Amino acid sequence: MQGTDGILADYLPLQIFTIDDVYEGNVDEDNEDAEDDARILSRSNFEWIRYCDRRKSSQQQLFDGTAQQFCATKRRAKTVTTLLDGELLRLPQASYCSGWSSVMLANELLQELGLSANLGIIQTPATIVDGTQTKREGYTALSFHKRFTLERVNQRIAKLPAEQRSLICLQHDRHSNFVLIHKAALERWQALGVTCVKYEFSQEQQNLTTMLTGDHYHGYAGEVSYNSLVDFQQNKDRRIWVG
Amino acid sequence: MGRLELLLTENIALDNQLEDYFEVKDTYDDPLMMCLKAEQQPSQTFELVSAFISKNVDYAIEIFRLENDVIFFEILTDFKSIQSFSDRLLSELSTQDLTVQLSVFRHNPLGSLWETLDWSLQLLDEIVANSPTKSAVDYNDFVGQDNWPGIDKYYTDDD
Repeated sequence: MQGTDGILADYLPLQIFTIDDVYEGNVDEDNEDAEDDARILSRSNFEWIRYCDRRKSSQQQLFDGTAQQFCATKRRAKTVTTLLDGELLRLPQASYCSGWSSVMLANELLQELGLSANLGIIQTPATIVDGTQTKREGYTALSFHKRFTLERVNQRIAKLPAEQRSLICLQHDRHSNFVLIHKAALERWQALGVTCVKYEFSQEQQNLTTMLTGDHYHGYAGEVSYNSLVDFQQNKDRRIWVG
Repeated sequence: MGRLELLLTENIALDNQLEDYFEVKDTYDDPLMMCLKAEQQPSQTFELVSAFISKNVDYAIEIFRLENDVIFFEILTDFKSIQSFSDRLLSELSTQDLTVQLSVFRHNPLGSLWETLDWSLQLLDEIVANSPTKSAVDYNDFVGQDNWPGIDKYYTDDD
């Protein structure tokens, strides 16, 4: 980050591209009904909640480390199930749980992180029931139970070896946080070919002062859409919308 | 987590089937939710139950196998008729030396169908505990209030 000479100089925002819409067939953008019919996956198919919360009006957003079964807020993607015909639905390696308070990571990404207990990040082993109702192992929900101020970062975290503090959750305002990721960890993700997080930031986007004084913060890099299920499955021809 | 919730978290396909089934219910439906356990010879018992239902109930009823030895189905009728239905069902099964326990719980349309099904399963567990080797039936039907035990005990602290 810029605008700081402390340890945060070695960090960047953790920003995740959320999957927005996946279409199948002809999309007539002038006809809303036809567009809805062609949309076979949407953001709510990849926004996770605890399975036991699936029929509740409000869902728990922070988790306690006990292994949990998760599903999406929109739980079933019937058309996709038919179209995939047994093929596994591609899941993003990084995504958000409902409410933006917890991040769902594939374990191969988690393995690249070092997370000291002092960071207050709880790791909850997750089984995801995907839109085709298939159980998927190998994910972990990270919830951020400590929100650090800049002062606290210097007091509590700065002395930890860099490899044990891959993520830091900073307090923004009463309603939102920033999660920062150590540049070395982000580079390792990039080397793995992970495409669902943002690597390049403008000067302004990585200016700590601007971020801390700015309006409500969302940790998303943008929304990604695909014109067909095949494109989605192969993650090609992404259309990225940055709000 | 309730008894039913544990079951459904393990069995996603059943969860979806029940969801589709409940989705089309009207908000004024107050069916009797029946759970039947047959610890011995479940498959043979369930076939006979199914045949008995198609012979004695004049509309189609879907039967869900919740566990290897437990099925669920529902019937829309009054308290008197369900008592007579249950007695005849148990007596028919006893002629084949089959033992079952049957719980009958009336759904209140103000509540959730999932909750009523969970309570019916809890009632079934109570019946099995009280009568593990003999056939038995018990009711929780707020319409037949003469013998209505209430539903307080089905509410737990974490509700």
